[in-house]
Amino acid sequence: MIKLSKHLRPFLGLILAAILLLFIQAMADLALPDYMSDIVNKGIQQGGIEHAVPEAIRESHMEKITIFMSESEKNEVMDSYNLIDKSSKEYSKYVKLYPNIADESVFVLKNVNQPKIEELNPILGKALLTVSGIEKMQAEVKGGFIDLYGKRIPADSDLLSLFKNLSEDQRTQISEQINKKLGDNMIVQAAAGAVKAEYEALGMDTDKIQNRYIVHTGMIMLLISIISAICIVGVGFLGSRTGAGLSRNLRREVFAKVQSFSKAEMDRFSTASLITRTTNDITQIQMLVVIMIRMVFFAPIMGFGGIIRALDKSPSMSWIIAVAVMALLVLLACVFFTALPKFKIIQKLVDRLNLVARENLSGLMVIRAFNTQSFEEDRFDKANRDLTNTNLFVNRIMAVMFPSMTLIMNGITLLIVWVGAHQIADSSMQVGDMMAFMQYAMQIIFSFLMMSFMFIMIPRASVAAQRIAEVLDTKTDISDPENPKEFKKDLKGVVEFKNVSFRYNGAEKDVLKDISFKALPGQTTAIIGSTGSGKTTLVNLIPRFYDVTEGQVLVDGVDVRDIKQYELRNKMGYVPQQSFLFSGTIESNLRYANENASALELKEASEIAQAMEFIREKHDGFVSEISQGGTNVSGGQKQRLSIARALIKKPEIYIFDDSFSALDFKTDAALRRALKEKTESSTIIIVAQRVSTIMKAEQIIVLDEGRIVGIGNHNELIKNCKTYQEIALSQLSKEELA
Amino acid sequence: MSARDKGIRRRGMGHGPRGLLRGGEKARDFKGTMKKLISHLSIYKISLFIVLIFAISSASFSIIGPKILGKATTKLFEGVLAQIAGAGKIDFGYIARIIRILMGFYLLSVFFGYVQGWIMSGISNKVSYNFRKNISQKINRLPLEYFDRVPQGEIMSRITNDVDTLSHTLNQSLSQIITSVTTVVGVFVMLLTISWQMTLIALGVIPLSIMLIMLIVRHSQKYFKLQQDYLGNINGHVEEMYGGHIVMKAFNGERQSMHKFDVLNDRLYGVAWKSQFLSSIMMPLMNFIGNLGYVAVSIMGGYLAAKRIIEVGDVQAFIQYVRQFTQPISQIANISNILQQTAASAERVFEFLDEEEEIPDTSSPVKPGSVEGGVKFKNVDFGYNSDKMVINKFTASIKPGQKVAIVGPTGAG
Repeated sequence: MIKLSKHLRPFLGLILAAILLLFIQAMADLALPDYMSDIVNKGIQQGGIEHAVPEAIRESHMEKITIFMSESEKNEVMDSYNLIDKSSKEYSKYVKLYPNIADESVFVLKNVNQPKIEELNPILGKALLTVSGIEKMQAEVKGGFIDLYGKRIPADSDLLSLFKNLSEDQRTQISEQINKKLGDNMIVQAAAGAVKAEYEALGMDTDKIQNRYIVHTGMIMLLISIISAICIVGVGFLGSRTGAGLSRNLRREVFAKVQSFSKAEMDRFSTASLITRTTNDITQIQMLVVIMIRMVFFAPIMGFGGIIRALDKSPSMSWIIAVAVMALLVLLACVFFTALPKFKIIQKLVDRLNLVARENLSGLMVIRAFNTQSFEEDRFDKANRDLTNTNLFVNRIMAVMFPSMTLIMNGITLLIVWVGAHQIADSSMQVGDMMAFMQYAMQIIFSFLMMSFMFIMIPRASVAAQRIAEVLDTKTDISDPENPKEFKKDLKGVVEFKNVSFRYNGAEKDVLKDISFKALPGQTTAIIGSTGSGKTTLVNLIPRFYDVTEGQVLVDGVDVRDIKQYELRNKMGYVPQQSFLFSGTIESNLRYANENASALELKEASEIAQAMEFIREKHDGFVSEISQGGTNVSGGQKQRLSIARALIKKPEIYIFDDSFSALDFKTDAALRRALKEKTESSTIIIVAQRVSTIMKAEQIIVLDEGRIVGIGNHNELIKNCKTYQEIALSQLSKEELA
Repeated sequence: MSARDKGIRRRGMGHGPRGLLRGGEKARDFKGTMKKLISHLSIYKISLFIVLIFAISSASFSIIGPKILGKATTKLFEGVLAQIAGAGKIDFGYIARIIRILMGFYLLSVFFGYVQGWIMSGISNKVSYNFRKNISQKINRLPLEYFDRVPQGEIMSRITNDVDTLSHTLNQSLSQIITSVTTVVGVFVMLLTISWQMTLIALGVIPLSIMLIMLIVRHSQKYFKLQQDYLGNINGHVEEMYGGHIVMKAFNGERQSMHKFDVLNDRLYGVAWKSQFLSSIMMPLMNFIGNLGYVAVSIMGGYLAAKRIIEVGDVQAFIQYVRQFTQPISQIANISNILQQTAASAERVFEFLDEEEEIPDTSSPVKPGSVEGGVKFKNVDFGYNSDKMVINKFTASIKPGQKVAIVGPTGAG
């Protein structure tokens, strides 16, 4: 994967934008439980009253509460409020808000900022609570006396004016005793009731305040959800562009690279494997990149964001999250350590099953002839049984995993409720916080789950990436020279081998050894020899499909390695041993050699190649369809078309690599006759098996185990070359040879 | 290669909700195939019945959870209010009791879920084992003529891909379907018992999510199909150029080939990112719908709880239920796709198993006394197809110890 990371560079901008959006999305998702907790805590529990600083207080009530403040506190509070009465110019505005202003003057909160509110919260909160506590005592009085910290006071006495006359120290003591049950955190919660009572006294609609708060918070949540959704779509867009763009670039690069491969490199990778690397592996990468962009960045942001949020809600409950994550990781580790090795085994067993089935299918004839069906069935049954057993084991382990995961999550929820309940009792958190904590715990667990799946995804992606990188990192053996030379102008089609030896990469023995000869224009040079004697290898050196190991191959006086491949191959018409046609039509295949060939030239070439006859028979003639691989024409027809293709190029050098093998003797003879007539000035190099094909050649080279064992024309060789005699005698009668 | 490719591509369609975006293949005779598959599974009907009961039990026990847990939260909330008012304490005894009950329920749910999974994987593996075994035996009973007609790759793909798909559907999708249906029904009932007003609001998001799914699926399937087609084109070009590498090089065809590749590659990119885009936002968007439900429940629940129509714990339970709701719904939306895919695979397997067999060995074979090796042809006619006879009225007698040569041009028989 790392090897391919440089290919991600053009997409860095997209990826960074995606990360930004993911960050926003994670923040948005994490903010939702917080607002939900606000709805529960402030909306429901506190009746929509957010803090202990009322926006308005009756003058009479203000008088009562200020009794329980120090002088400095009192000044601070009074600084934050304006007294409004009927004479104030804003009276008409306030009477709508606070209907009872008509009966009594009201202190209205100035436009103060949040820190000021935080500062006022405990001051006003405590004072409000003390007053309402005292009023409650008065209301619940039994027997006409109140038991106020050891003093019996008549219930109908004016308690507040009584307190007013006490010293400040005594008042603080009373206030502290009333509030001692409540922690600092709970002051605001508790004071909310007192604030609400005050609002009611002012004639305000408290239900409306509550509903407004809930709906307002809900709208913020909705907005956040929409932002999150926009981010999701944005990330999807950026991720898909990155994935598809990366795979487009990689696919192009791999394809271009493979096109530049020499035959040796094609052989090393094998065509089938290169196809998989260019197609399937890259499609895999595309999918994995998209998933990984989403998960690799999102999961950690979400996980750690969740942990921070959860710690903020309740640091003392963080151990629960640790327990949850540990339990999950232990479970996953157990499952993967038992199941992962089995996955590899399953792959092997599937391969084994396929192998047995494939052998069974391809060896069908032999199996039936030797009556070994039951043996084969047993063999398949064993493979089948092994696979089934291992599969069953893995499936059953997976069957443990999902219920256990649910159990962990449910168990954690219960644990949070139990521990949370105690925290709430100690007033270190509120019910809404506990509910939010539950959701954070789930979000954290899910992000750890995602992260652990990443560890499965990444190796999978890296296998595909590795295979692609292997292709891209291959150094091609054959490349154009830096300072290409020109062909000598006075020569037209001279091919010369000078002491050429050739050895395949990694092979121990030379395939060709010390080959020297010269093929001249207007002449036919034939190469003959037994199978494996190196004939095809020899001709493959001329268009530089391979480079020589030692010696030189010269075309028109210049070493083939000093010339651009394009120039070199432009001079040649090559007919391969295995005829290959492209999908398209007969015409498009012939024109592959020369796009500008005229209809007459097409016809002429087909005529020489003895292909005209069957082309004419075809319903569509030259525009007849050729399917991929030329499967809809016979072997002989394919060979004739591929000869015609080479002829259309009208090259200086023809190379026929055993190109007449699929033709019957009659066609073979007719083709050679026509060829001889039309290609007078060209150099013809023919590899052949049949002596009859090459008997008339000006020069015959006899190869045996990579060495030239005879060179000359037919008559010379039949007299003095033993290998040639053997080949000739095995094919022709004495009379024919004469 | 191409057969293997097809297999991989088909496998790439994936299972679960992702498969929904791909628009799987369809069986020709859905009903007939399903009937056959069901009768094939009928030997496991007792086990399947247990699976059904256990899956429903497992889902039910876990569905009850949030509602009961909600009671604990409500009690807690009431306790807090009382504590603030100075009129009481949190009732820890009650909360502890609820937690114990829930722990019991959750453990039962896990137990049922696990036993269900255990039995189901046993059945599905047995079924796929038998399918594979039958196919392998069938291979040996089919007339040779069949193999001239059907490529090897196709038979291979039935042993591997089709049986795999069947096994997968049985193992996971079947219990998933049962669980999803139970969950949806169960959650619906739970929601109703808490508050019908809230249920209405929470379920308001379902038509929305179904509409969204339909919209995405429709576009996604279109682009996915285009992507597969264009991918096919480009793969074809790659296969051809790599296969004819030497010819391409010999005729200096690099530039033409590269040009064609670029055209195909750009065209693929144009649909690939769209297809990828639509399939990648599907799950997150379902999440968004879940969030909408969450917001709706928070607002409405907050309002109703403030009015004391429902309790705080009910809001919590609702939030948990709404979160549980979206996933099974997308799974249920996918059922028909899963069934289609299963039917398509099952149809291919059954088709193969029902293929006409070679005439079996005669039931009363003649016992040769002692084999000496005499072979006699008596007026033998033979053709691979009935319209094209290869051997006509062939009569010959070969005695033990004789060496007989058969000569003739290629294709003479």
